[in-house]
Amino acid sequence: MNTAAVKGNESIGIDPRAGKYLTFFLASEEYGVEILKVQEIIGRMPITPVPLTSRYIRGVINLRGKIHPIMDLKVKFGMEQTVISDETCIIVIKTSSLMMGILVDKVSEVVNMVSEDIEDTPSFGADVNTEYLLGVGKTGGRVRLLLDIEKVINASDIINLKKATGLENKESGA
Amino acid sequence: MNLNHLAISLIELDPENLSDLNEFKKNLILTQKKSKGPLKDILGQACADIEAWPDQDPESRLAGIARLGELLEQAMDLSVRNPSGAKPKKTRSAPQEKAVPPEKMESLIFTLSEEFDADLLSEFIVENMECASMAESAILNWEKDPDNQELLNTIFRGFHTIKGTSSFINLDCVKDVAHQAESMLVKVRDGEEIFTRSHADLSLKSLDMIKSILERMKSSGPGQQINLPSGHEDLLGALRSFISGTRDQKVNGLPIENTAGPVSTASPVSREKVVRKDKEASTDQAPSANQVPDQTTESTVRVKIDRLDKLLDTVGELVIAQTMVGQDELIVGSKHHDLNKKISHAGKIVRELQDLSMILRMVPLKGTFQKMARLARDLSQKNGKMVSFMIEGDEIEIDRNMVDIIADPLVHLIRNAVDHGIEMPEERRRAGKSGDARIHLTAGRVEGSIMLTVWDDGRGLNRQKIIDKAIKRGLIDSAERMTDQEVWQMIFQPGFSTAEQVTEVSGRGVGLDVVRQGVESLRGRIEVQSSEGQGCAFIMRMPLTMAITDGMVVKVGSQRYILPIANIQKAVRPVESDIHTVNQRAEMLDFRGELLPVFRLHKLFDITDAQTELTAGLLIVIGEGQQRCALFVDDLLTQIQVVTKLLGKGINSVPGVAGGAIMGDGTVGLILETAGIVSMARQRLNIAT
Repeated sequence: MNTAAVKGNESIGIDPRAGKYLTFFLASEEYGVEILKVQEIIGRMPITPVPLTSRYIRGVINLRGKIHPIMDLKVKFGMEQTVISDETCIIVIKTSSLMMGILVDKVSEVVNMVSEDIEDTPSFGADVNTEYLLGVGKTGGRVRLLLDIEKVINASDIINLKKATGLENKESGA
Repeated sequence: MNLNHLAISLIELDPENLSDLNEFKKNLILTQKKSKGPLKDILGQACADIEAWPDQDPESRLAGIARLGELLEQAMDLSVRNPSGAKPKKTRSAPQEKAVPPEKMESLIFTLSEEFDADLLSEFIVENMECASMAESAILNWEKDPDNQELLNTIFRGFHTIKGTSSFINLDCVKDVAHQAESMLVKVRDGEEIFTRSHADLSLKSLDMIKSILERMKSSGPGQQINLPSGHEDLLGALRSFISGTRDQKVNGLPIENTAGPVSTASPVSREKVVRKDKEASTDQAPSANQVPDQTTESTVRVKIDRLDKLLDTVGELVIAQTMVGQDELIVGSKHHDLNKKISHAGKIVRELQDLSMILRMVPLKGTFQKMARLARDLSQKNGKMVSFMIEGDEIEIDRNMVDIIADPLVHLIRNAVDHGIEMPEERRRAGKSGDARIHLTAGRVEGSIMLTVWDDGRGLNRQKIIDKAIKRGLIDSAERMTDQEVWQMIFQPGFSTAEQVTEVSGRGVGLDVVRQGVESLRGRIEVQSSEGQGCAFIMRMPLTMAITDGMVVKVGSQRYILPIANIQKAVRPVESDIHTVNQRAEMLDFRGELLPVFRLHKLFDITDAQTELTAGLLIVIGEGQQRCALFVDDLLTQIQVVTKLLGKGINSVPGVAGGAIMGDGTVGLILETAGIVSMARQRLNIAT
């Protein structure tokens, strides 16, 4: 982590993907979102389900008088529905067009990724859609999948990503 | 600046006022530079003349002004004979070349001065819009009461303020109109002329022009160009010829010039006028003197609406937060009497703050009603009907978000009243009624809601015609047992119009359907009362504010929803014998002899832990007329007042859900939309069968 930070100072501004990422867990996989897109992190709170919406819309919450939708990222990626626990968090994402909370199993840390840490997403062939990944971040011996969160939020469905992440994880475990 | 403008400003010129003189000089030189041929020479002479003024005393300047008047008159004669030489154009940026193509003459362009910032401009627009509306309402009242000097002064102040502020930002296109209109009205105010319809027409047209220019300015900034509305030049011409027409008649005894066009009818500049200048100047100042006491009567602050909304949101949050503190078990169960007292005191203040913040959004109906008065006037004039329009209760305040929505239904109703309701004067007299028809627009407060009534004493609704039409359209088979009220309700069906002919303003059969939708979107209801030959009244009832919904919390399984009280007609706990099934699939409720379809909310919303036994839950009768149905829920919990909010982008349109609201415990509650639920349920039923 420290060495990464030092390196980061030397090479800032080369890769547009370089910068600080908030990382979190979905099941056993670690993901990252650009910290600048994160409005805030809130602990679990009552979510009101909204009928007749996509399955990955978990419901809505009241955040200081404004209503925001909550997306269950795991459902969106084709995994099991999130089971709310003490560690469950809502990361409020602010994109240029909307605010939305994403439900994650556990918030991990904020990491500084320099361009050397970021690798392009490997190609998995036609049936694996990696469009929603900015790249793969490798720091401190861990692999984090860097999400293009705007695309994730705006896209209607992503199932293929699951396959990509599954493969990535096996590699990182090795 | 063209010659006409120069001539006008010359008349107004105050020999004592050096800055005025300089301004005039600048314009004169500009005009001279743009002109050609002999005209240029004459204007050159005038320029040379004016050069010497600053050093002279006022007396000789006055003589100079007179001399200049003659020169300008010569110049104008010349330009009439040879119009292309220096065709006056009302713009600074438009080309002043010879042989301007005719299409360019159509849409004139005006460049906004770059010197002023956007904030100043937008403030200017808002202020002048207000002035214009004020003057407009005064004109409408003045028509009824031409002796009222105070109204006349109000009209004056309006035009005068617009003139003053627009000349401050060099907005000549507005200033000229205001100026001419003011000049026209001077004569009436001084008792030299009596007020006529033409005065009112021209004044209203001038205000329309000013408003439409201001409207166009809204979308452009400093230094940008706006297209002048068509007819700008014509209006100025009409005003000028009106003024000079009456003036010439009186002063010079000359016949009125009827030929159109600004050039030929422009008031000739003569010494006589220059002498009159003093008088005009004094009348110009009179209204501004009157203005002072008026401005102190009401002081307001303009606040941006998003800031206001934010304040309301925050106050709403505060109320919830306060309630949560008050209901905390530590507090409720505590023996600290003092603490409880303090908390309830804070609660009182918070609620007071909430009430205050709600009032902030309320605006009086006056502006809307005034537009309706204008509409009624214009329409009745166009149709050759005589209508006296009465307004009552325009001081009542409603939520500002509702103002625009309410205007559309009113426009439709008033159009209908003038176009179809009111008969032609002869027909009225034959029917033994006064030729002067009456339309009343009234507002009143009833039990926390607002009641708007549009009443006319026209021919009223024709029961037989409506029934015939309904049978023709297949809405009913026969109307034997229908009450009048039921017959009247049919006119709100889409495409239903009994007007025999389609006119420009109404009769296309879209009117009343739109009216009903507009009223319903405000969570209101509309009713008709009519007696044939006596007139007809449309009565609308709606809540004072859209911000707060009165609702009942209904329970479906572990979920809670808010059902707006306005949609609820009755809640019944059914017994076995009330329920009938159709093909074992659809269910019906026998509601006082009427069979209503039963829709189960838990099925529609896929809620698994809900009550499924109809007799163990509640059936809520919702909807109107053919849309009536019974909605099955587990239970009714409590009444609640909530602030409607959007669900946030991403899940904006959920069928059957109108929006969300923050409940007392800080969670989000969903507000149900009955119309959506009904149509969704019917759709599913169709698919299933």
